[in-house]
Formats: sequence, C-alpha cells, structure tokens
Amino acid sequence: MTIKIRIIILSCALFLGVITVIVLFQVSENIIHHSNTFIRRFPNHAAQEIHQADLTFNSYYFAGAAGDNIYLGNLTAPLTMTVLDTTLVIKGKYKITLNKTDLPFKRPQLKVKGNEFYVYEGTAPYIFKGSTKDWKGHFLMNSGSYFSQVQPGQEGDLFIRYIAPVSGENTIGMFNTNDTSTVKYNKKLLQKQIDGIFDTDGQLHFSDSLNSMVYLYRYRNQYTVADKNLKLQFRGNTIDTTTKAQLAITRVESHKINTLEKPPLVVNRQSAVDGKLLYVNAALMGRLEPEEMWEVASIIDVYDLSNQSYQASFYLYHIDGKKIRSFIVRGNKVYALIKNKIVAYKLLEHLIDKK
Amino acid sequence: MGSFYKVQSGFAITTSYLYTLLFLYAAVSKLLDFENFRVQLGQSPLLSAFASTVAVLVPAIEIIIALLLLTNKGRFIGLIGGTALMAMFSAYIYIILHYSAFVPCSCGGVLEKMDWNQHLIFNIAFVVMSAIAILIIPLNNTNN
Repeated sequence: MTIKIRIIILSCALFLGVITVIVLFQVSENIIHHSNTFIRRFPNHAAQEIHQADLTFNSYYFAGAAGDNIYLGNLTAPLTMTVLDTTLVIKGKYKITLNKTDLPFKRPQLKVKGNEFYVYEGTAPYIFKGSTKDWKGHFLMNSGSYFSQVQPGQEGDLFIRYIAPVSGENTIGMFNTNDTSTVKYNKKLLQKQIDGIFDTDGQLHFSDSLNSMVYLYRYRNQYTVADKNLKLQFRGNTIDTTTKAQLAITRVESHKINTLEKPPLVVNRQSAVDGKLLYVNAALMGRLEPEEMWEVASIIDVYDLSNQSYQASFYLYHIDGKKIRSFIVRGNKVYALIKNKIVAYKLLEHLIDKK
Repeated sequence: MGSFYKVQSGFAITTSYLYTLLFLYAAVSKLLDFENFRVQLGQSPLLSAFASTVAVLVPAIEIIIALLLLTNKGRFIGLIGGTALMAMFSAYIYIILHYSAFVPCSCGGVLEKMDWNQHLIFNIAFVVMSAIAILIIPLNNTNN
C-alpha cells in the first residue's frame, strides 16, 4: 500500500469523524429547540438562591411586580397589599379602599400592573381599578358574565377568562379599562377537546415585549398567544408529549354536576411570563432525566415565545419538603412562594441561547 | 527488514495497545454506570436528542475497535476506526467549548479529573499518534 493511499484513507477517517459530529450537533440542536422529543436540558447551577424572607403566613399570593416592587396579596386579608423590595424586605402594607361597598364581596383578588392595581372577583362579578400611589379603587364594572382570571395588558387593556353563560365553557375576552362599554371575545382562542370547561383550564399571562396575551393549558402541552385585539398570533407546544387533555369527566345526575372521575393528568402546573420568555413549572418527567431530582425540586422549563423554542430547564429546590406554590419572574430574578416563605433566585445567563 | 522496520512496527503496535487500553477502560467505565452515562449524555448540549442511541453505540464501537487492535489482521482497520472515533471525540469537545450555550460535566473514571482543554489536548495527541501509525505501519500483505 503506497503512502498516498494511506494519506487518503487517514484524511477520510479524520474528515468523516469530524463531519459526523458537526452534523449530529446541528440536528440535535434543531430537535431540542424546535421539535423536542421530551428531553430536558439542565445547565449547572442555573438558579441560585439569593434572598429568603419569612412572611409568617402561607396565605400570600403574587399580585404582580413593577419597578423594584413586588406586590403580594393575602387571602386572609383580601384588601391589604404588601409591598416588598427586590431583596424581599417589606417596604409597606397598604389598605385598599373601594368607592363601592354594596357588592357581594367574598374573596376579592388583587393584581398590579405598572402603577395600576385591580381588585376583582369573578364570581360576583366586579372589577375595581386604582393607582398604587393612593390605593383607592374605583369601580369599573359588574355587568357581563362571570369570569375566572384577569390579566392586565398595556395602556389599560384587561384580558379576562370568562365563563360563558349556559355552557360554562372558558372563553377569552378583553376590554380597555378606559372604555368599558365594548368587550371583545374570541371564542376560538381556547380549543375545546372534551367539555371546554375542565380541559381548557390553564393560566392567563401577558407578555410585554410581544404586547400579547399568553394562555398556557394545564392538561395539554400547548400555549396560545393572541394580540391585544385577541387575534390569534400562534399556538406553541411545550416539550411534553401530551397533546390531548387526559381527563375522565363524569356526570353525577343526582347532584347535577360534572366532575372528574379520576385525578387528571396535569402537564403544566404554575407558570409565569416575563418579556418574551415563558416559564413553566412542569408536572411530568422527561426522558433521560435524573429521577431523584423530582423528589427535591420543582422543575421549571423556559421557552422563548418569539421563536416558539424550548431553551432550558432549571431546578427550584423544595424548602422543608414543600414545593413552590407559585412564582413570578422579573428579568434574571425568580421569586417563589414556598410554605410561609418567599425566596428570590438569580438566573444565570446561559439559560438562554447565545445568539 | 532492518531496524527501521522494527521501529515502525513497534510504534504501531504500542499505539494500538494504548488505544485498546483507553477504549476498554472508557467503555467499561461507561457500562458500569450506564444509567448515569445515559442521563449525562441527555444533558450534553450536543447529543441530547440522540442520547439513548449514542449511549449504546459508543461503548460498543469502543470495544470492537479495542479488540480489532489486538489482532495482527485487524490492526490497520482498527487504527483507522480508532483515529476516526478519537477525531469525533475531539470535535465534540471543541464544539462544546466553543459553540455550546453551557459546558456540562460528563466523562467517566480518571478522565473526569481532566478539564475540557486538557481533554482536548489528550485526544489530539492520540489522534496524532494513530495517524502516524497508519502512515508507517508495515503491512505484510502488500510488502510480501
């Protein structure tokens, strides 16, 4: 065998080896980000705890975040807003006053967006709006259907998940709080798979950078993004493979109610949207994942809504065996409520692709 | 057939044995902790999507090449295969270091002690060695 032939063989071996790896890399990246087969990716130490504070009670929930403030509502003190700074030190507690008090108040809830706050209760139903400067709520409306979720958008837009009369199905609607006379609905945004009530359950969010609402289903691997006029922008998928809600719904004739026959298969638990990123506390384990981590931490998946791609996942560890109740994200900080504590985490940059 | 022939032959055989040692060690350490290896590959920024297949293929190929290198007849083929595989490992590390969003930790046994740059140099040294071996190894069937 001549030296020439040997050199050719050697070059082929080196070339083929290198090319194979490069092609594998390209294809793998594409699959992971755009047609993931349910394999999560966990960069090391992605979320690091930086602050922790004891709130004494476990009845707090996130009303929102704006500027350097984190706003907490409290189920047992419904009209008190607790304001924390980003290091979780309580800056103040404010009592909200309302200009209309003859309503069937049972369990008012609070939301904050920018300098505005909302007090609402979907089963009454009523909505108040006011400024965080004086904490005075002005009555907006009580006409119309019952609703179950409210999410403020930009310039006074308010996205609402209504409960459609008679059918009881979840329907997305919106109106501008400066002109409450016209409410827009888009009955096609949420797609009914079984009954339109349980199977369309999920969480309503708003993305400032897309100026769009985001709705993430609880029982299937899908999210829906619609603009401020409720025009559908796109439907994206989470990396889970559950495309159809798996619920066994049964009718109890004696009580005239529909209920779940067995525990439903939850795909997405809590979620949050910040900028163009969607954060999902996932409920199902993916392939090739360290199983023991599910015992000690909540798994949060990160999606880029602007190109509907999966980015990465990270762990938020349980505290004394308790998992996170809810969480919000502001820039590179995650705030989570666990038991009677609030915890702040810092996210590392490499969660998001360098581009 | 003078001493030059002996040196050439000796170098090729030494390289082969080093490769056999390395590949057998690597394959066994992967198989001993196979579940862990599979999960780590799944976390690899480069192969996540094919982790299950690659996890089986890599140790299998390593063992086949290691055995080929032990025989006189299979040595030339084994060297070519070994060089290609080692080139793949080097390319893999290079891409991880330069193009990946994050750098994972995943290699077995003693090799775990090396950082990625040392690993890359180590691999390239092996590639150079086997490349030389391929060029100089005396092949009886053509020489006779």
